[in-house]
Amino acid sequence: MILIENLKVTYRTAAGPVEALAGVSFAVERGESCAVIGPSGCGKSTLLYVLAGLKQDFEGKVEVAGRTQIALILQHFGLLPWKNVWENVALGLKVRRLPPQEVERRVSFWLKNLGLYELRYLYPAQLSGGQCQRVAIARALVLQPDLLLMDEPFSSLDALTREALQETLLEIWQETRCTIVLVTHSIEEAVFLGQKVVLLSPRPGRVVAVYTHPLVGDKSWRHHPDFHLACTRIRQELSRAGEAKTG
Amino acid sequence: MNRYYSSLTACLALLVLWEVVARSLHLPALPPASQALVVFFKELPGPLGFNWLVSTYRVLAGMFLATVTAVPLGLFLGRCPQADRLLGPFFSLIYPVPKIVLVPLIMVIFGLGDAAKILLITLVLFFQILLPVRDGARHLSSYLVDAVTSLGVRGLAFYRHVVFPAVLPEVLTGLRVASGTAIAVLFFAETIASQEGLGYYLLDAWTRYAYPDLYAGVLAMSLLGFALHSFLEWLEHRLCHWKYL
Repeated sequence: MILIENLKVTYRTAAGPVEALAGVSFAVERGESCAVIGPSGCGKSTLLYVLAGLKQDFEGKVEVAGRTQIALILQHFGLLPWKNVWENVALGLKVRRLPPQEVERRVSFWLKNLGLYELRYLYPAQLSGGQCQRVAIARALVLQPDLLLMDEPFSSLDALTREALQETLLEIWQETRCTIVLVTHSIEEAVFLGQKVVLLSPRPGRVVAVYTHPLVGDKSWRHHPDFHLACTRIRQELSRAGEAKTG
Repeated sequence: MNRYYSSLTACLALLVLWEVVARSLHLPALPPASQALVVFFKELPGPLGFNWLVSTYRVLAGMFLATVTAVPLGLFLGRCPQADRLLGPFFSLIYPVPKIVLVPLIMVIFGLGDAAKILLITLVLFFQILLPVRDGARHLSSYLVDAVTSLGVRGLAFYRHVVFPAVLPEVLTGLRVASGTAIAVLFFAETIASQEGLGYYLLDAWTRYAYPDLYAGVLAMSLLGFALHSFLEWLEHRLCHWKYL
């Protein structure tokens, strides 16, 4: 589904060029959920922007197979403050000029599915952080994406809302079988949601390790002994990568 | 609704104060409010009403022209840094020039009719709209832009759904703030070799020492400014209600 080979991204800043990604390679299978984790500034978000097609000046090879519908969900939701919940969710469909009945059907379906239907006439300023993120998820899902890209989608939410939304995301993933690439700095989130976890080094980002968690999707996975072992292993690997960088 | 009652109360208080001061001073140049109001209502179906309509037409036409030229240009400059780098310095240079100094020049080129007066108002308002619109479009949150672009919102749809609604509050605030200046400039322009408009009416009353007429004209001009300001405020609340949630 996704093949990334030797991806290099350099930003030109006033202080000179800054290398964000220095030869990142990994693959994500169709229908797989992949979490990318690493310290702040390691180029995680840059990687996502390259996959979303929002950043096009890079070196290396990035292949997304087939005619893929990509949707991106950002940390700060990116909702339009002047559109209500319904209008925000319908926007992507309207610009694709879908028939109004189809827009109505898809938007209603996902708003009901995510418990937002009653809030459809409210504006983002009238919603909580968790509700805003649900709207952002609905807005992405109405496009029926094959590839769902998420940039630290739950990091600005409180712990309970975050866990509830992580479980909602897993349900959606099992329902739609879309491919997910999720960028996070939370080890628990990466292990809970990522069948594959790609560990990046501090800037410039390189792949330090790739772990697989076949139990992802099972609701009891968060309480499984292997879950904590996987978290500990990643925490140690991240500390080692950080020390190697500073040392 | 309370705000409207407050405005009405303030207006009545001002009229009462005017009446009391005028009746105690007994100056010919300061007739009581009641006398000015009688002339105002008597003249409204006649010359005052006609000149009021002429001035209103000129202000509205100037506002319309300034909006339809400054908004698209501001949006374009805000989203196209190359064009802004090229044209921005010219606008920054012209913006602080008081447009009223151009009155003689504009009248020489465009004559003494409506065109010169409308153009003058357009000029005053143009920059008050252009610069906030440009800055608003330029400083759109990159988060919003990325999120919306990833949904496939591009080209004209991007301007329609994202850039224009984002700068609309700035457009209406710019118009509201500048409406007072626009009326002041119009008054000045209408006092120069003019045969129509509230400025002409006021100047005419002044030269005839017809003080109640003069005050009726002042009332009409104040009401024009108040009505414009209130209309634009109402429009802002109506079109940008999301800002007041």
